[in-house]
Amino acid sequence: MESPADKMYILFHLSMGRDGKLKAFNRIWKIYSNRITFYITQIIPEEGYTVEDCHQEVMLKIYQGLDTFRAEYSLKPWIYTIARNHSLDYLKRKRADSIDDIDTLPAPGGRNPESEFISSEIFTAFEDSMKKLSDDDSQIAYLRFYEGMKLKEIAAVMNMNINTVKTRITAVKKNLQDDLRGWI
Amino acid sequence: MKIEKIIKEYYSVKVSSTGPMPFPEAISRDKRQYRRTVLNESLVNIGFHVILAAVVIAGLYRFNNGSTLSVSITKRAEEISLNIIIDRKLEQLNSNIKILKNNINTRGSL
Repeated sequence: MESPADKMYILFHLSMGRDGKLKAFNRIWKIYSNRITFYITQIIPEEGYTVEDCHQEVMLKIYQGLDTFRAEYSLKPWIYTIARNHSLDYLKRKRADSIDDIDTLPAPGGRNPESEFISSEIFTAFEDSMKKLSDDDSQIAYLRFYEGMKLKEIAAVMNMNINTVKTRITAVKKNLQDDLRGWI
Repeated sequence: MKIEKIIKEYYSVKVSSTGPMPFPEAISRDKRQYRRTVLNESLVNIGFHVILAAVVIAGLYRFNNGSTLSVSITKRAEEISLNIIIDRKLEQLNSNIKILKNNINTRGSL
């Protein structure tokens, strides 16, 4: 998980020139690589699109964008804004291309058999309920409940009004609560 | 269980179950290229420092052997002073020879 120490580490290394930039990026890679992969799967459809390609491009954009990263920026919204904007661009580009030309690679999403939560009925019900969410709602839920981002930051990432974000979060919670009535 | 907690747990499971992605090739290339550049720069730096150290050591060696220099200067000074003495002696000899020649000529004419 990101901590102020991570941001300090990244800013410190960014001030050290090119070698520092690589070290800063390695830290981002370590913390965010999997999280960005999952976030991308919330934006691009699982079939017909290559999550790996998009992930590579997003990470490259983040690496290139590190030159413009400033101390006053929050790392998380900055990263997710790049991830979202680039994933949407990627989707647009791929839709313009012929579907036949696209290598199909299913999005990673294998289950961990060791987790009791995954094998539980509540997880299955929850997953079904999450699948009903729109792409935007699922991204908002992820940024809010997993990443713990502020409404203002989510609004900036999603390019939405803060009140819309608030309304959507309330709606997501209500829908999930309705679907999971009896378990929670 | 609170709904927020379930959502967070759900996403934790989903995120941790995503497979590892390969490190971007462009950045790896950049990294390798950068390492090469750094290595070249390091070699140039090392070379420069070796030359600098050699110059300093040679200078110190010469400085330590300063007595050799002063000896050679003294020698040269002695040589110059000897030359002056020899020149003077030669001049004296010349003038004496001239005097002798004059004396011989004067006696001959008598």
